[in-house]
Amino acid sequence: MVSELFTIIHKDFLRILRAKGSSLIIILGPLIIMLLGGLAFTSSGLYGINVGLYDKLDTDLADILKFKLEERTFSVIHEDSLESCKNNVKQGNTHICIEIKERENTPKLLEQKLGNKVVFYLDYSNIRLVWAITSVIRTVVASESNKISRGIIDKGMDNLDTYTNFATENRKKILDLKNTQEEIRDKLTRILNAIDQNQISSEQISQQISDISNNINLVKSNLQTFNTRAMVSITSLKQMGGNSAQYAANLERDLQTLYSPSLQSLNSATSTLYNMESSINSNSQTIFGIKTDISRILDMINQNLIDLNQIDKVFQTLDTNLGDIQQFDPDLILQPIPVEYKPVSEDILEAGSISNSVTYLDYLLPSLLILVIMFDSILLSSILIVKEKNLPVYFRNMISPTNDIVFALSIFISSLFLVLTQVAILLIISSFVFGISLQQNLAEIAILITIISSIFILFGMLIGYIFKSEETSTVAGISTIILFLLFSSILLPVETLPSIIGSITKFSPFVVAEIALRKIMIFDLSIALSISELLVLSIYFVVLSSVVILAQSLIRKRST
Amino acid sequence: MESLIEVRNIFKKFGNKIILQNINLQINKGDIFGIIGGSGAGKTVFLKLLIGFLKPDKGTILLTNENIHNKISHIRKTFGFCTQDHCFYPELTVLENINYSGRIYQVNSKIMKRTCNALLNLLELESYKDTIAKNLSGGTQRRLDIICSMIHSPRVLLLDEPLTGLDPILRKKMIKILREINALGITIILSSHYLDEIEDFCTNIGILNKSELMICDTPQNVRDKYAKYTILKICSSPGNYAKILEKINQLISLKQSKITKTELELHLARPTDNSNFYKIVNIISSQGETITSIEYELPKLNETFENLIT
Repeated sequence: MVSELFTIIHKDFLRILRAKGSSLIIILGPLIIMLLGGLAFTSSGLYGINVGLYDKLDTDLADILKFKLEERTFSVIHEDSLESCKNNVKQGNTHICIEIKERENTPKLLEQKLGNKVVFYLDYSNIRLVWAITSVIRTVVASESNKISRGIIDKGMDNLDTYTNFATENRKKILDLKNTQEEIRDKLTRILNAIDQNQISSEQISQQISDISNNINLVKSNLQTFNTRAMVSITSLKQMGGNSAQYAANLERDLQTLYSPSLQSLNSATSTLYNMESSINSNSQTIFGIKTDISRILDMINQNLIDLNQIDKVFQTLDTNLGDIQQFDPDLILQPIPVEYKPVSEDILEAGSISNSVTYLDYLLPSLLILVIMFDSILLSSILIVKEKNLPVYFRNMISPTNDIVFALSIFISSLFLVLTQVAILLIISSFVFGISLQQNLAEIAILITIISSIFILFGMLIGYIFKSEETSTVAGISTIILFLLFSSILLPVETLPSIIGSITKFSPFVVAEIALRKIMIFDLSIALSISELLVLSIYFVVLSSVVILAQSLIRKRST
Repeated sequence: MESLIEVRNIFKKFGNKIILQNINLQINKGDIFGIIGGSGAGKTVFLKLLIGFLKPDKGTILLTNENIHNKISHIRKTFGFCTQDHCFYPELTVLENINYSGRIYQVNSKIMKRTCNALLNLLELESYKDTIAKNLSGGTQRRLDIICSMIHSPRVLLLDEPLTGLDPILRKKMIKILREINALGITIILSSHYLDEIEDFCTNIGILNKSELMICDTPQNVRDKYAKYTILKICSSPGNYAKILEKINQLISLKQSKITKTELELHLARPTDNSNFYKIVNIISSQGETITSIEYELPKLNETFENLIT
């Protein structure tokens, strides 16, 4: 069986190599692909992009945009009307139309540039180009937009400075006011205390005056009693005559001289006392009124102090906040959450940057490889089978005692060898001509490429067994390839597809193979980390192998 | 004679179209069996049935008393099949094609080398062994095809229209080669349109018509049984054939007649009446002619075949 297998494989190689076209394609195919791919992707940018610019308002922004876009080798064409601007995009004369128009509801105080609005008109049928162009133009517009934003922020920050100074100054004044108020309050309190301490209550004074008055009255009564008794005595004495009468007369005269003024004095003292009481009562009322007023003033001062404290707190908060805001870098306000895009693999530079060591080709190589493998494998194996089937000699193979599996296996091995040869040429060219770094895990890459190639070869073989002519099998092969491409991330990211289709697409051999190869080639991960992808690919391999063997047997059986 | 292949009541149809029915025949070891039939008569299908490539819908085919479909992989080695088209890879050399055919028939390397040399010698292809097959002439390609069919030393060699596309000289050469192959003990079964050439070459023929095997016999017997006329070729002196023919036509009804410079050819309807023969001789003599030679023969198989199928 092995010798038969080798003979058939040998025959396949001889046939392919002796057909000049085939051998040229095998060797030149990958060379051409890699040469074109390499030249196209070693540097990547947007060239020959025409931008239509319509600016009715003739603003500075248009000039700035034009300058910036021309810096990026974009060709900017001034359009006379929006319609012609859009029509040129439709006709393919320009790739994008930019309209600068007046912005609605713009605050008057802001500068003129801010009164503008930029509108892009795009041809979404050319979606990838649209993304690429809008990405560049967005960057240009965003850079200009940032400049304007920065100006506004700077202005705002200046105003903020002024307000902060104002707040600081006023806070000092409030503090002074507060201190003065506190001082007044203390003084008034002291006055009030002093009044309270020195004040004799009117009742007390009335009582004391009444006591004095009673005492005076008692003195007066006693004096009157004394006078009465003295008069009695004097009278008695007078009656005694003599010296006694004289003495009594003298005494009576002295008594009369002392008694009446004393009584008058006592009455006057009583009257004065009453007057004094009346005055004291009047003063007491006045002091009470003053005390009430002082208490009210103190209450007001206390309220003022509370208010001042609150105002002070507000100013304090304002001061702190403004201080905090002042510490902000305008860049922080422009971009509060800084965003940075970095490659997950450290040895690969930022996406989009062109360097001597890393090119777009490095990123594209896994996809490019899968693409080449898929095209080669499907078309080569299907054509090999259909060509073989259509040769008269196929009849001899069919009637020979050689097992079906041997024929299927020989086509598989021949195709695999040829595809791997092409991939090897492709990788060698990539490595030597375009300097693509092939990582250390070359063995793992080889294993994975062999598995991937096997699956697509089996797909091609199946197509070859199903279809009879080269034309139909080629159409079927290309349709299959298109289907795989359509449901992959080559045209649109799988994630953008509807959920059900997206989940099915994730199991497409192209998608699975691309993920696995990217892991190994770009991220330098071990093949063991692609275990889920390998599992899916293995299932494909087993199922397809069985179907292919079944197809080969069926062809022989159907012939008989 | 030892029976090699026995076909019993074969019926085969593709879709609704009946290709073969009621086919019964026997091919003996060492025979050269010719299948004759018009286009679409089912000759190729019959050959493919014989090698077990196609399965009959009804009936059996026995190879040395064993149904060929019972041990198909073993049976495959018994047959060598040479199709109408060239069954080899045009991009390979003569030797590479022969080696390839030998390998897929699981022939041992040593045996294959010996057989290959013998066949190259027999079919006079030694000088072409390193030539790319597609660069060979039509006749040489046909011989290469035969070598490829015989490299595994089959007991039976089947040839589907082996003389098609060959000029008369090559056809004769091919027949000579086939005779030599047959002389090696290999039974040959072939289909052909060139009945004239194979009637002398085949030991037995089968005529297929309208899906059925009309006749299966030796070419001579077929002609004897089914020829519609006898050919009489007369040479006389001085050879006034036109006058003779005029007289004959007055007395005898002829199927056809032809005058050449040297002879008069008369086609007499079969069964031939001997009296007509004497009448013709008398007419010639009465015309003052001296008969120098008279040849009597049956028409070629080709003509008999035409008569049979029309």
